[in-house]
Formats: sequence, C-alpha cells, structure tokens
Amino acid sequence: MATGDRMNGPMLNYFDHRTKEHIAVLTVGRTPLELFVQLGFQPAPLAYGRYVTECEFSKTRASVIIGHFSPEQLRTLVTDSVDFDTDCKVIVCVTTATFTGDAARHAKTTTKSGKSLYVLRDLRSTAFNETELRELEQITNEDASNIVAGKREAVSILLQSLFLPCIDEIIPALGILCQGYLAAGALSESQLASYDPSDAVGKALIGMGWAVAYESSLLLSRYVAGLGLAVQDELPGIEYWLEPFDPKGTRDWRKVLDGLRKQLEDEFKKEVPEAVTELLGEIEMRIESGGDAESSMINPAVVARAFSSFFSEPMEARK
Amino acid sequence: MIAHPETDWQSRRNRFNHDWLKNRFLLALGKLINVLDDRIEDDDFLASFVGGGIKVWEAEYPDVLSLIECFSAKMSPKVLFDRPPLSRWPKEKSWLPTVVDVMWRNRVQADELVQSARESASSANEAYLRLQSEWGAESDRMSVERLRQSRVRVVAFRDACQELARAIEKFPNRILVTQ
Repeated sequence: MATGDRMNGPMLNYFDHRTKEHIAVLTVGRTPLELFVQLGFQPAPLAYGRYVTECEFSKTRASVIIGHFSPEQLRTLVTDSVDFDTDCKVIVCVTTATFTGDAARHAKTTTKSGKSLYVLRDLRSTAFNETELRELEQITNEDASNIVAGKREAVSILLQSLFLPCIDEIIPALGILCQGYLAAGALSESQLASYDPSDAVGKALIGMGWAVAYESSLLLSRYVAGLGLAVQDELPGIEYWLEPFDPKGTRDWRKVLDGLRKQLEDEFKKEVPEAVTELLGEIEMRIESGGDAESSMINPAVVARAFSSFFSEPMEARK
Repeated sequence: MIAHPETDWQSRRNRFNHDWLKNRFLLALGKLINVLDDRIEDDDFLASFVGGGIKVWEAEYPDVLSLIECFSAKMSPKVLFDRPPLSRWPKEKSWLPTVVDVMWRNRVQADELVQSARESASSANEAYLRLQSEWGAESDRMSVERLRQSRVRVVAFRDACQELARAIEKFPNRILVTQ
C-alpha cells in the first residue's frame, strides 16, 4: 500500500507482492501540478518549491524508481555525467512529447552504473485522472519493458493510453453516445408514449437492448424515476457529443469535430457511413448556429440511423 | 499490476476453461473412468490422479467462482468509461455508464449467464464433495476394485464439470457494444 513520505518529498512506497520488490513512485521536477494534487500534496507554491530534486532522488533505496522528468532532466540523465548512487535497478522515466533527444521515444538504455533506464513518453502530457494515476503508480518493471518493446497486448489499456499512440476507440465511443441519446429519449414521457418498434428509433432501441427493458417495464420502473430527469437534462448540448473527443478540454467544438471526423475516417478506413456523416453534419450545424438548448436537439431518428449504420455486425471494443 | 480489464477476464477464462478444465481435468476424469471400466490400465496415473491430481479442483473452484462473479464488472461496455475517449466523460454524469450497463445486461442476459454458471460450478463442487466423502482420506491407497464402487460418483462429477465448461463457454468473449 502507498504511504506518503512527506519528509522526503512526494514519494509513495509500494511493495509489489508479485515481484517482491519495493517500488518508490518518485516525482521529480516540474511534474504537472495536478499530478501532485492527486498524490495528496497541497498545490501551494511553497509546497511546489519543496518537491524532490535530483539530489534527493539519489538518496532513495527503492528498487524501482518512477520519475516524471522534464525533457531537460531526462537529457541530462541519459547523456551527461549524472548518475544515481542508489540501490535501484530500474528507473522508469515518464516524460513528454516535446523531448527530442536520444531517448525521445520509448526506449531502454543503461546508465553508467548499469541501471536499466526505461523511458516512457507521456504523449498527452496532460494531468492524469484518478484511474490513470492509480495505474501509473503500480507500474512494474515488466510493464515498462513491455511498453518499451511496443507489446501493446501485454500492457493494460490505461497504460497503452498513457504511453502508446492511437488508442482512442472512436466508433465504440460514438456508438455508446448514440445509445445514451436514444435511451434518454426513450425515457422521456413523450417518447414512451410514442415508442414504435417498427421505425428507425424503435429498431435501434431493440438493437441496443432497450426494448427488452421497455417491454418488461421492470427496468423502466427502476430507472425512469431515478435517472429520467437527469437524462433529459443532458440531452440537448453539443457537449454531449463532443466533450469526450476533446482531450485538452479546449471546448473549441469546431476543431474537436474536425478531429473527430478525421479519427472516424481512420477507423472506418475512409468509408464513413452516410448516416454517421449526417449525424456529424447535424452536430456541425448546431456548432455554427451557436444554438440554444432547444435548437441543439438532434432528431433521434438521425441518431438511430447513425447507430444502426455503425454496426452491420456485432460491435466490439478493440483488444 | 492492473491488467487490461478485458484481456484479464478473457485470459482468466481461457486458462480455467480451455487450458485446465477441458484440456486437462476433464481428460483426466475421462481417463479415470476408462481405467475404472478396465478399458485401459495405468496404475501410475490412478495413484497420482486419485491421490492428488483430482484435488486441484479444490484450488480451482474458488477461482472459477471469482471469475463468474466479476464477469459483469469486467466485460460490460461500462468499462469503456475507464479508458479514452469515454474516460473524459464527466464523472458526475453517471447516468450514461449506468444506462449502457443496463442495456448490455439485457442484450447478453448477463444475470442469467452468471446465475447459470454459478449453479453449474456449485453442482460440480457438490459432486466433487460427494466423491471425496465416499473415498474418504484413504483415496490414494484404494484399489481399482474399491474405486470402481464409486464409478457413478466419478461420472456424475465428470458430467457436472462438462456442464460447467458449457456454462462458461456461453459468456461473450468480447466487450460488446451492440447485439
């Protein structure tokens, strides 16, 4: 379990029962402030100034050190005379996309004293969310080695997302958003009354498993009251469709939509279904109009057609 | 290490159902029945399997129960909200993961699959316990003739294990977003 060692700075100590190793998660230098907040440290400027320095880094006796380095620090570590008089065998370096030195990409190298140095690139270089952070803290030598070797299948999806490119799965995500939109419509009072299993929306509801719930009424009775109002509140916004595809949180919906189109072209191998294009067009119209909530509503039939066109065969998330 | 949620469950299932249950344990149970039926003769196998090999079930049973119980948590498309791009979905808007999970449970009949597999595992374990009860503590020293008296219980255990294998096979092997 993690134990914060405030005396030595932001270091968390772990014991990996599988490898029988002590692991120190040690953050070095100007790591994103949000990371430190997630680690439980106060974001005050004074505290930030007391974060571990390379000098303190050398004092650890951990067998594995995971450090988040700036490009300059990493370059120093790899190419200059800096070495660490520690007992550690492996140093896992998390750095950013901007580093262009010898170890710019995922790489394994050796320091002067023979320690293995794994360099992992954090492509997004954004703050880690809680789940990502938990996984990053528990990274092992084997994980690091597999990432460096590009063995995508050997590492978790979250580690892939941190260190390996092109991991977003756009089609399943958009499919889920379509499901949510249609389910939300089906939950609304008016849609419940007009539900027709023979039209586009009805067929989509059947395809996504909503019809069973509708017909049995069991789940509706449980969820309409609890979720219905919240769902209806969520329906109108452009954010609903585009926020997940805005990794930097720019809220520049025009750019986000352009990026989404390109990613869909990549995943569909350039053959984006017409109904999906129609849905994106509807979203685009609402971006351009800067519409209010009322005009931001997209016809459920458009969403249903897009949803149905995604999947001529059962759809699965990529392994 | 936190493993890939999908691969983790899949690999656990493959290890249990394919690698161990079907390709090792059931084959060994079949061989035991053949020995008891006098179709083949293999004293070494008899001693090692009856005396120890069959008891591996006791270690595997809790694992398969755990595998069954975590099916929904690991294989629902709700897990896609733990990875990009849906990990960017605002955490406070929990209705969408919930609705996605509910619909998936409807599509794949998740609760029924889990219940069926749970019952199959329990039946297999009961059959094993009945067999062990009949054998008692002296199983590794029992003669073939003595073991033959419990053939019905061995067959019952084998059949229950086959039913368990079929129940585990019915679980979807991918995180399915649609039917």
